Amino acid sequence: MKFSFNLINSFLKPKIDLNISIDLIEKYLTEVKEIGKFANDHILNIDILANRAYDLFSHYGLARELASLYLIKKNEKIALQPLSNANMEFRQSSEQSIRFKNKSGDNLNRYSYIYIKDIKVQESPDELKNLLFSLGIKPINLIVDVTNLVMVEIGQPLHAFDVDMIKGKEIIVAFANKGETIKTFDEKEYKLTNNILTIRDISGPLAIAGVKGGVSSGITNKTKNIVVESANFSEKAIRNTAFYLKIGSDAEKRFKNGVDLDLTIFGLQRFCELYKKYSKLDSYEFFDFKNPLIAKDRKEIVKCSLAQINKMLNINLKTKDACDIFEKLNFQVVKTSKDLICIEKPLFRNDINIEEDLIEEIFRLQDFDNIKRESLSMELKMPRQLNHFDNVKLIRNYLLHNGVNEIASISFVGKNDLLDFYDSSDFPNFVEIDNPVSQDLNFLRPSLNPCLLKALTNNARFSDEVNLFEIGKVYSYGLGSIKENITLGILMFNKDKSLLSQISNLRKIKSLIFNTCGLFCEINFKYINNLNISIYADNDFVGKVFLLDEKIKINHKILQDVLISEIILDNIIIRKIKETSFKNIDKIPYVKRDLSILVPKKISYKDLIDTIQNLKLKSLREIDLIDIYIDKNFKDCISYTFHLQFGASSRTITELEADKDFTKILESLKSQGVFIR
Amino acid sequence: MQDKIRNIKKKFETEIALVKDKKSLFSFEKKFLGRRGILKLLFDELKNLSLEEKKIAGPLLNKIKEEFFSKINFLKDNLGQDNIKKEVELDLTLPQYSKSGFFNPLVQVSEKIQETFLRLGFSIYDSAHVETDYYNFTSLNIPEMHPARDMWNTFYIKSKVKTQNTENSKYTILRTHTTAFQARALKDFKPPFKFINIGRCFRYEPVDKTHNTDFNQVDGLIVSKDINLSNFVDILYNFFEEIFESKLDIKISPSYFPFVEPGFELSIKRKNDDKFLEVMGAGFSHPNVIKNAGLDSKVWKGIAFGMGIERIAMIYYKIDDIRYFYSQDLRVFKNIQ
Repeated sequence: MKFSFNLINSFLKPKIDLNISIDLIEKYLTEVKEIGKFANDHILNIDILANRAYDLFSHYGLARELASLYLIKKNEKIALQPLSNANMEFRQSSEQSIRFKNKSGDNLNRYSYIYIKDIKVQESPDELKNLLFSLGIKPINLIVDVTNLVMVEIGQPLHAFDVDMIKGKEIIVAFANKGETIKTFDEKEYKLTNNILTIRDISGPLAIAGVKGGVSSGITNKTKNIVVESANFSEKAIRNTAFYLKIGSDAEKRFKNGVDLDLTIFGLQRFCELYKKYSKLDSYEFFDFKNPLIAKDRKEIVKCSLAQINKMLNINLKTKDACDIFEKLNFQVVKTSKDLICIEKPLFRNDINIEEDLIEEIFRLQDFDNIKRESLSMELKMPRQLNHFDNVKLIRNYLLHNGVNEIASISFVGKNDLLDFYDSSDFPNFVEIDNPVSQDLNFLRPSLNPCLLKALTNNARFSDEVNLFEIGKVYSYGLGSIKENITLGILMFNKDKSLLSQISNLRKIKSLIFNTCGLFCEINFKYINNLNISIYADNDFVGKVFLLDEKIKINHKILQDVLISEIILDNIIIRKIKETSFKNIDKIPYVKRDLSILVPKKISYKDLIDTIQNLKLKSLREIDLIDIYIDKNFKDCISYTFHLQFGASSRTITELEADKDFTKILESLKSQGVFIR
Repeated sequence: MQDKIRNIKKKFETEIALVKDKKSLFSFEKKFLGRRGILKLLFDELKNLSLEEKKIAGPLLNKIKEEFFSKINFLKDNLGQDNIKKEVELDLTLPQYSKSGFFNPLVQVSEKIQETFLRLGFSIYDSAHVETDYYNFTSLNIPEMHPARDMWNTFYIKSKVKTQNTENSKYTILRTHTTAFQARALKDFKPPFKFINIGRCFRYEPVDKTHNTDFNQVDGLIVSKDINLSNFVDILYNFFEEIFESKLDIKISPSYFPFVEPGFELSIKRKNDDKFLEVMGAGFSHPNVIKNAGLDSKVWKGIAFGMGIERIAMIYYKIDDIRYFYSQDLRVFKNIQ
């Protein structure tokens, strides 16, 4: 909120210094976000937080706070000028020219106004216009400008109506009727409902109560008679209005945080004082309505324990020190005992309600330049990791060490991103956002695939090889509630179209899955079709490895193969690392044989292994794939080299026996159409 | 004599490394093991030694004779006509594979934060991204229709026929802060305890250099019967000095959050920083938060704190734009590593 330093100082005697004030505010109140110079004034943009909105959304309130800070921190007495001329008294006449009715129950706390006849609408003098302008308020005419000045001065919003536009000479405070509309002074139209509190006359709404005035009853050059409203509405009513109409204003900001009931009268007094400085103001009619439903007795006692203060803040404050601070903050200390301090809740502070609020006042005024450090003593317990941090870390670090790059994507995706991987019939399972930042980011991602694909298209421009992974959450509906699953997505892509490089990527992605998830469970791959394989962890389906569809590739102008893997990690990371135990080394030597074969492409690796294993040779201990390559001369085939190991269980196998079984393997492969090199 | 044996052994080892082919192996064998070879001469000298000297030198000579035989035979087996030992062709200056993947600095910092808290004895809670507004706001002393809710711009989940409608909660939202775990932790675990909750949060905000719709936070909650400001400051020094790997100064300024009272902001200044950098909001748990969880706020005191992880990562890696973390652009991450 913007403050004019000169205006603050106008309430103080002697005047305070700018730099000292800024320093005090920053140290003991809140952040000063910006300091600007405006003619001979300084404009401070101060971050007044919600708990001090009640007293500090006004220059007078801030002046009061600064006077206290000067007193407490610098031991300098700065006098706060009284709010208004005490001699000015309002008398309510027995006959009201304008009738008033409250039909809003306890949503109206107080309604007062002055009715001024024969007023001349004129432009404000430069000094007033400049002041308002520097605070971000547009000057309109003297009447409206003075109402705005009163609001920034003391925090009481005022509103001026053109009396001749009030039909039936009656002001009614009531909720709108559904379907009513109002056009506000800034030319905006609003559709009203019965949640919206309005100031109205017999024909309809004149203003959105406490928020914005209507254009029809606003002050124009033709206005001759005005009513200056100074009211106090319930915080709840104003918040409802702001919420349902999605509307805001300087007045609404103040009313929704609450405004001191007594300020209504001060507001009108101040209006008269200020207006008289610039123009004539002879007579007026005064009216005041105090809602009897609002509790009269506002005296509340708040207690705090000195021991508690000292314990929490680890300081050694005496009773008299604490009372001294409270009194300098303009709180009234009503009683003290050995430990307890009771203060009367100040009328200008609605944030002082419980002991902790008083402790906060003591706290913020301490100088914590060198706070003592003291170890917290707490029982030693092994920390839990409900998010299985350790296991996720293992997976992540393994991927990084093996050359896969890490990305993070936002959680939102759009319809088009999803149609790459899903059907329209899948959409009911997706979680939709009611108020997305844009229409192409209105779903929560049900899968990492669209994010990985986006990352590919982003990076393929700069790189011939794109290997990346993301570990993150995906969202979908399941069993009536929203499921969140931690997922691992991996993408491998190489502009090198050669089959060999694609083979290398596939083996790599399978290795990554096997060596990470395989730490916790038994990982098995199951062939589905020539585009994808399923991944099982301890016989539970957890994900798949697949080649990106041609259709999607064309959509995104990709030529080469793209390998993607997506695995749901939730059930994997909750496990511990697989138990292993030592197995004695086989002391019986093996016979080794190399198997080099040329395999037509239509025969899969799985087919080869199945062929060999179907022989059920007891002596075959190990089949190790050593090399895959594509021989230039045999482009329709893939060359494999295996190391085979033969052994017998209880004795050394002979070369002859090994050769016999090896030949069986060769014959079996040959019969399948495999060529032996 | 022993010296002579040692020297012969050295000579043998030096010269055998230079043997390149069968021809030179043959003459090498003859030189050392031949009838008039070096070893034979040494064996002949044995008779000139005393009994004690013979007792030592004799077995020693036999031992090295065995060694020589075994090494020469090894070369004989493996040194064929074609197995000529080559000159070293391997160029040792060839570079390593640049094989390590680039990490995302945001995740890296997040990992470091979790590790540091674990070492300080904090457990890690895991609360969902999709929350009810009860846990995200109401339980944290942020009632409905309260201006305090304006501090967080919320994403609402489009309600389906049946939504999460628990604990007086009207709305299903994306959590706006990791603070949303406090009431859950207080319900699930008995104090005293120290917990952090870390992960992604969401705010409906225009995206710019320092704001993004998706961002990460870590929130902490320490609940104990006896905890004071000095304890908290001690934990913070331990934490920040570990994260930033340097001694630093911590400054406390008054602030306000609905779920703490008193509330404050924390700033740090490392040796090379020219000003204090705001990093954390914190405070003593508001008694309403403790009471909402069914605990006696006179007995149990809490300290809560929260940090934006992007902010820490931006300070640590000197990155000036939050959007880099989510850009998926590997060139950015490459530049950090």
